[in-house]
Amino acid sequence: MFFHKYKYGLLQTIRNKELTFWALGFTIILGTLFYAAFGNVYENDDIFEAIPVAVVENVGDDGFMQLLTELSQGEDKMLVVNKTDREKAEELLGNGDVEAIITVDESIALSINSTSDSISVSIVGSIVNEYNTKSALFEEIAKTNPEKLPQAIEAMNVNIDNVIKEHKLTDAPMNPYTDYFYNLIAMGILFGSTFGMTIAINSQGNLSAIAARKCVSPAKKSMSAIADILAAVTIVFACSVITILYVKYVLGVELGDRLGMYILTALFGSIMSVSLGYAVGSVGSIGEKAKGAILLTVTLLGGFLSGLMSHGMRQIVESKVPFINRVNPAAILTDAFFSLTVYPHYDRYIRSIIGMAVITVICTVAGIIMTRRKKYASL
Amino acid sequence: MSTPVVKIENLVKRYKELIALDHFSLEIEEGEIFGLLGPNGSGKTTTINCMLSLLSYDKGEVEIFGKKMSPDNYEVKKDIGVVMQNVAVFDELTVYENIDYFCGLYITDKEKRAKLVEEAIEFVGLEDFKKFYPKKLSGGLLRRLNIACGIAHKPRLIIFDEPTVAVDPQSRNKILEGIERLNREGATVIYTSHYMEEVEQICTRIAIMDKGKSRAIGTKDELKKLIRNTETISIEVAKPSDDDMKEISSLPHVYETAYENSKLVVRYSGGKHNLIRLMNLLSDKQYNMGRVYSEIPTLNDVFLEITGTALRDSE
Repeated sequence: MFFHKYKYGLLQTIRNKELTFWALGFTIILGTLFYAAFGNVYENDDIFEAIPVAVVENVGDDGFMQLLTELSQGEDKMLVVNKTDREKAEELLGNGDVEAIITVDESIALSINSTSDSISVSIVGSIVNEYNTKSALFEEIAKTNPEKLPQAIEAMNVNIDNVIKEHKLTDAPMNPYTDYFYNLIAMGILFGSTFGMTIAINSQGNLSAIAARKCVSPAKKSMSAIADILAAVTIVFACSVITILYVKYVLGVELGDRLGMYILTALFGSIMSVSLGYAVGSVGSIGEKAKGAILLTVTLLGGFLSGLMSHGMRQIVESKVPFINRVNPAAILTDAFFSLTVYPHYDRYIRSIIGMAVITVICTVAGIIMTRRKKYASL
Repeated sequence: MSTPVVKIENLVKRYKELIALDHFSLEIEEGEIFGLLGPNGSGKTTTINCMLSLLSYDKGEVEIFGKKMSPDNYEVKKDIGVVMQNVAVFDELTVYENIDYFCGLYITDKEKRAKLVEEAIEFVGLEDFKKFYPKKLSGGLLRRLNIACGIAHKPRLIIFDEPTVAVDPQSRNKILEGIERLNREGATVIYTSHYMEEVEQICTRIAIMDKGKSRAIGTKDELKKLIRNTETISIEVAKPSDDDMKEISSLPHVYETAYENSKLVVRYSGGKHNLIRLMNLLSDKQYNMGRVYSEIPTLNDVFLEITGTALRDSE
């Protein structure tokens, strides 16, 4: 019976043209429009703007200062260096005049604040990390194998070049417009919440005639709901994978080289989206239109706050009301895609996945609690 | 005595101050087509929903096939088919798929189900519409699909909740014929309606409901015997004089006379040859008569006398 219900759940979901349009068609159309709007930007290699940093030199480190000099020269310069004292540096950072403070001490340290642009921070952080790692290695070689020092210095120079070329440890370009596409994919996935809402409405006898017919049958309610939810997740996930592949291979937007992880993220997002819709749909006291409006608000307003309409909005929200970014499904999902592209490590990505998992668990539990009734006070 | 298919005892259902069912009791035997007759809001659908454990109720007991009905009583649910008042089908599934889906909630064997689905399609006459989506069907065909979804698994007890609302006469007749056929094939049927002609046409026993109460239960004839009227004669004629009206009133078995809309209306309580006697009297008095009607009491007369309101008036 489970596969019978799952099969028809798939058919119902995929044939729901209105919902499928919003989850797939609209996303692809909007993505194409984005691409048309940003097309020239994508074809232009010279889109990178040098990152302003403040440098506080407490201890002399000629090697590092030489590196900074090299990085802040020429047409392709990466950094705009402002050498200053600690107090002034903090003032510049607080005003947003610089993205980070590099403190030259026994080791090189980086200070940022919550409004710092993530891409810029990632780039500067990579430079600092690379230098710290290599200089430590250099010292170790000098102590233990001084005869190998010339080769080590040569290797270090080569690696500094690598730092300049790579910017960060993932291979994705630093195009700020890519953030719009992360938002777009997230929005498409969140439109799938409407599928979850429909499932909830069609499983409660007091909300629809179809549900009443199902409730009087010998099919167990929980099994029916799981089959329907699984079918909805399958379709939302399929739509999101198609969108990702369309954005990456048809539009040619460089999302980075972690395609498998993007798809995994889309799966987590799809589960979160359907469970969110299921929870909203399970609320018995509000009408279907109101529920639809709630989900549309969560999707579109959430998309706006995560930067769908305005690049940098997520950073502004992070600086003013960071809590919203922790609970806004669109922001969490967008940030997961973003962190996969930008960060070599998974710390921030895992934070996003945990956020999605928490929302999924809360929504699922709430949905189950609200739909577990078997008899209704009124129909 | 065999166990009743449905046994409802002292059912009470309140919506805050409103009492929707007021100590309602009922027993339905196997093989019956049982009609629940009453105006909108009389408690017919509430009774069905409580019976099916969809609605909670404040007091009372419901047994189906001799077992206490509850939402988890899947064994009992297997043998029940429900045709809801509102059409309950998926717009995204075709006629065949809808029937297969709902039949699949009862029947897991794929081959058996395929056979049952085909039979249900044939039963409601939708053979030419198997691949149609519900939105492409007319109101009557949609109702037939709704019925097929409720009966495809061949249940022992089938509940039809106002299945002919907003249905054209041709589809209505087909639906009523279908219900009688299902009954002949062994199903016990509960039929709710506010159309007394339908109830009168197909039901073997009827409960008259009003304001959440059962006012009377019995066969058509039993119900008609509960009231005084046995015949109503109407004759198009010039208004008789007061003396003649008195003479008409004194005829055997006459209990009420009136002159309404250019017609003399005479109501009888029993007796034979009432029409001949009345026409002879009018002929003797030199009255020219137009059309003559002789009507036996309808369920509306029964409803009128029992509740004090005509069924149609209370809609």
